[in-house]
Amino acid sequence: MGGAALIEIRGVRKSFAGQARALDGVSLTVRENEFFTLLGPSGCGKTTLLRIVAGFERPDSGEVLLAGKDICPLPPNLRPVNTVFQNYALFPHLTVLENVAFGLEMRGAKREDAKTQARQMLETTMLGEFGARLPSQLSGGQQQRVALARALACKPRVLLLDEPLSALDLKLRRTMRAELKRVQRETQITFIFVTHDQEEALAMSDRVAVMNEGRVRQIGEPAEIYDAPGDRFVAGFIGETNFLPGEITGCENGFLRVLLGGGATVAVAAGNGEKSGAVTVAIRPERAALHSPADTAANAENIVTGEVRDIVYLGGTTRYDVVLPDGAALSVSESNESGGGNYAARFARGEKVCASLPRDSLRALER
Amino acid sequence: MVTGAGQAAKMPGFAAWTGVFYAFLYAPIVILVVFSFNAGRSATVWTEFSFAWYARAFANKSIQQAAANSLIVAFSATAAATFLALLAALALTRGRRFRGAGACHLAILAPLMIPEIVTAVATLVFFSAIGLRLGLFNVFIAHTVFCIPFAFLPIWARLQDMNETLECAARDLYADAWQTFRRVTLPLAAPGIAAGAMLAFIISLDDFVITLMVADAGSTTLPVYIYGMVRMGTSPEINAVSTVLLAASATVAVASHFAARRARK
Ligand SMILES: Nc1ncnc2c1ncn2[C@@H]1O[C@H](COP(=O)(O)OP(=O)(O)OP(=O)(O)O)[C@@H](O)[C@H]1O
Ligand SMILES: [Mg+2]
Repeated sequence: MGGAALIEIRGVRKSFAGQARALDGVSLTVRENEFFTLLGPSGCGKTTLLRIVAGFERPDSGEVLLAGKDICPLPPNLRPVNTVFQNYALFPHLTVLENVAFGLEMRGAKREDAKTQARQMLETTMLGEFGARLPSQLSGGQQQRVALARALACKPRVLLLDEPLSALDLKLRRTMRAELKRVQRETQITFIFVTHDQEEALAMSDRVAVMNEGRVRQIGEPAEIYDAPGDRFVAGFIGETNFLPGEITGCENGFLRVLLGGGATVAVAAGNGEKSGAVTVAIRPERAALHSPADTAANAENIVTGEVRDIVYLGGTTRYDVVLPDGAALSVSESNESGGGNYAARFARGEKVCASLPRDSLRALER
Repeated sequence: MVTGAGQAAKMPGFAAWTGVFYAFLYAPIVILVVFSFNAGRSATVWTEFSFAWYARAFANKSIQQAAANSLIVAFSATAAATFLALLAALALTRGRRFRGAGACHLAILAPLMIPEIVTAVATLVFFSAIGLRLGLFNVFIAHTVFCIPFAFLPIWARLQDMNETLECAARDLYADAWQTFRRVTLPLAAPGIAAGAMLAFIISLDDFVITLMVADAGSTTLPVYIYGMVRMGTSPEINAVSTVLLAASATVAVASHFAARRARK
């Protein structure tokens, strides 16, 4: 994914009257043909950022470049950018066909030509039979597809999607996820996709920008965001993470030595630049492994001991909630290998266990 | 309210009272309509069915003139008031927020609370003070002004309810400001505009107090003319004219009801 930069957002700030900053200096670059996702909790400014790119809001400061040109002074109708709105925003007084033809017509196509093109668009999105219906006569999933067809009909340089799947039920959401991804590959249009669903973001994106409180916390490919979270917020927001408080005591062969609260010292891959002092050591539940205290001798590095507090059977995996000597909680999830209805947990509640924490899976993050 | 409507309905004599209430409300109107078809002159003794009074009323030059004035004023004042109300509603719901927007809103609606006689006298004094003596045009101006709040309310409510993202979507799909208004805002606001216009039309057609003050001899409207006839003594001719006025109002009210129902869809 080494495409040229298509959209460059530089130091964009925006505040609304009587409120804290909605956007507090956002800078990011979206590349050509990229499926780029803005991920963050509710109210972090995702919609505001999209509205600035679409032209519905003007930033207080900063600039938005499209193919190297500042588009901030342009009204929305002069930007080669289209939006799929969160609630679809289909025109209720126009038929599906007229909805899809709207943009083409406004751009100057003759009414008949616009209709013909729109009809083709509907055929390719398997909506051909719905052309004469009003939006209110469609199901949520169909409305969603019409909104997508309408936005794509004008072949924009960039397509903005504001939580387009959030109103659909889980099953339909999975289907639409695959469909969106396919459409993006086939049309080669740059997508900027907004979601607060981390699974969606990981599954669909080429790159993800994680936002919080009007700032970008980290930008990277899904695996990078998941495996090498840059800070505690990102680690906690995406997937499940154990946070173990500790103290850096030294550095050895490129690994930090961290003294955990429980007294064990572990080696930790360098993390995000912390060199000394109090840190939080983060590890994903599936990266840790449990052993009974008897068979740990072979692998004496990066071991912590604790007691199983709870066992949760989750079908494909089992989660063991372990309490470490200092009271810190460590969840470890193991995949359940054998099926056949003869499942038995490897450990019992209250049993003493050892957990090995592979040093490459540990991250030392600012507390 | 502790006593619900259900309990009130169980009170003794409730049905009778309801009957009396409706009788006082509708009996005079029914009698007026019925006796407009009476052949005889009496307003109490039925003789025979006939359209004679309608024929007389329609042949009466003064009634013709008054009816024409009423329609001219009602149509033109409705058009002007609805247009101005639409502009005001657009400015207050879609325009850039401005200082004093709340005060503007209040100022548009305040005339609804001012006693009509006060408005009437004030208008009369004002017109003569500035020397405006344009006959029917004076009536048109006065009607336009007092119809604006009635036209404004349904239009404003409709625009307020309308989802602004639809207009964003239009802008996003390459429509300029005017195209957005023409192709999205206006069609979606249409039911509100229709309701406002119909309300304004009925109010204008029906107005008496202000018109009485403002209209000079040649620009009398139907309600004012009917009042003049009544002072000369009642005649079934008045019944006939009133029935026509009632029918006109009812038609507009029914049309307005259906427009509003379409708006809710
Ligand atoms: N028009 C507005 N007027 C005032 N405040 C606003 C406006 N739009 C957004 N905000 C505020 O800006 C902040 C960011 O809002 P935004 O809609 O961008 O969040 P979001 O990330 O899209 O959230 P969600 O996931 O809930 O859609 C919020 O605190 C919100 O209250
Ligand atoms: Mg949002």
